[in-house]
Amino acid sequence: MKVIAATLLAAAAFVSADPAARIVDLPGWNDSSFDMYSGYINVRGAAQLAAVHL
Amino acid sequence: MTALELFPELENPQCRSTKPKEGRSFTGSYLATCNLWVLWVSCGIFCRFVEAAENPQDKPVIVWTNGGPGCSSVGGGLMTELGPFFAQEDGTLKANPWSWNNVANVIFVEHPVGVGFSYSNDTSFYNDITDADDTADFYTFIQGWYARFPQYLNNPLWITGESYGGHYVPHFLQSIVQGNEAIAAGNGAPGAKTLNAKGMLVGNAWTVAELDNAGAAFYWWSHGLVSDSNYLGIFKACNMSNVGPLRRLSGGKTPFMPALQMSMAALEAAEASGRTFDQSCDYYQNAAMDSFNNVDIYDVYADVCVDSTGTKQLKPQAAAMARAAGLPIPTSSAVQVKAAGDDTTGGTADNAGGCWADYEPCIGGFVNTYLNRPDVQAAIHAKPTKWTDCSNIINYDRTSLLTSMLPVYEDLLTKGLSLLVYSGDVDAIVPVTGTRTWLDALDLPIAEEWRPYFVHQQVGGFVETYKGLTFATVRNAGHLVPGTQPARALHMVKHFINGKKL
Repeated sequence: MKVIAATLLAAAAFVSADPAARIVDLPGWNDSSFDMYSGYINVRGAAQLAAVHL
Repeated sequence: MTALELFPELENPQCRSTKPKEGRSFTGSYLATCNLWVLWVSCGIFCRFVEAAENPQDKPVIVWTNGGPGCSSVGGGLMTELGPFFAQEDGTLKANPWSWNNVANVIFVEHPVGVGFSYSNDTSFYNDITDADDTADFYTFIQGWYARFPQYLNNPLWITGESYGGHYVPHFLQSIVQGNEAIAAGNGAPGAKTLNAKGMLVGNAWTVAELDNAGAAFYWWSHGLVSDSNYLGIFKACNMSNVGPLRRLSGGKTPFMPALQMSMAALEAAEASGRTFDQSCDYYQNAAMDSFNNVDIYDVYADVCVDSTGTKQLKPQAAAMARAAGLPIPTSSAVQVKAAGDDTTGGTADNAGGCWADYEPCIGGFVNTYLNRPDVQAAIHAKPTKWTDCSNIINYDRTSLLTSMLPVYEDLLTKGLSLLVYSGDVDAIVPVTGTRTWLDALDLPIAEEWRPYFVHQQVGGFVETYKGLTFATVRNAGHLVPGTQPARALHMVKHFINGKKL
């Protein structure tokens, strides 16, 4: 696996890549009448983003 | 600049809908949700966002937080109180007809870092977390959330929560107001947006230690849970400003602060008659806990959870504040609740007056099992985690816990916001008696006199409106109001955020 990483410096305010990706196929739930999202938001320090070649 | 702007490939729909591959590990921290692009963050706040069931673009945004400090908003608020579904014993999810996403878009935020699925690579962040630390992280979080969902920037924003949310919620709202003011003055945080904050709703809110504690002791006595001697002994021996909340303890506390004059007068009269109260605060607190040991302190008229072995389960929240206060963790407290004598069947949202008949008093265990499933954690894009409802790894600052929130209220009251303080009236941990005492201390003029409000022909509670702040009780609701009286809670939030009278 080759990983190319790029650092998002703290200067890039409010890093928010993928803070809330849409949830699909939640176990035990089949109501698709509204969307749900979940994920992380970085709140301190630098976040890093990597391209992963599988 | 956001990462989405730097790496627009993250918006690739294929990426957004693909689950992380199991068994794949990365050095560092959390992996996000796609095969090709992986984000890892150094200190991540986890959130679940539930869009409104209809016309989300036109609905307000609500941020919900549970309390503790240190308890999960995903496991608590989302999955046992106001979310669209609750966990069941068989691993399926059951729809909650009184979900708040009937009336708003709802964000459930896991904080501070170290709680639930939120984490930090630097574990020193888990130590001595102050209200100020957590509030700063929240402000960064909410700005990051809007960077991801800018379509909601103009929708009204409400901050809501319960219990130790009595600290979180006013602080969070104040941080947004101050952030907006800084932006207007030209010195806002880089990249920060002005947020359309309208106000807050906070329930059974831990606000002023000495008044909430004194109110709790008074509640126990007035509801027939402790003896006269026990009650007066608490007032004699306990420093109400230095414990929180009152519960089973060991270790001495000292002087007494007279929060309720009636209690003081009763104590003086008893002593004048020759009675003595010379035991320690610990002694009297433990005696009180022994007195109502088999009653759920979070809902005194509810059934308690007894598991299949016949053992009562400790309610996670029961330990959280004691841990934060540096006090021994109680060993005998009841868990999840069910409204006594209320077998009203469920109906459509805001269409029933009583507690959900199918409410499961042991639901906390079901949630714990569900959220620890690898397939569930993958589906919700969570870092593989040994999830717990209330964190046992964070150490919350005791000074924050015991600091009065009244100065924050006094500031918010000058900002033209809408503030609702509500109180489930059968909660005995942060009860209505203490809340009314600190509301009185705010000394606000009454704008509308005390009156009942109705939810489908029954009294849902009582409401009194002050200048700048509304207070409402929720009748027969425990500490976790949306979970114990869901129809009344939904009625309350729907009306308040839409500017209508309860």
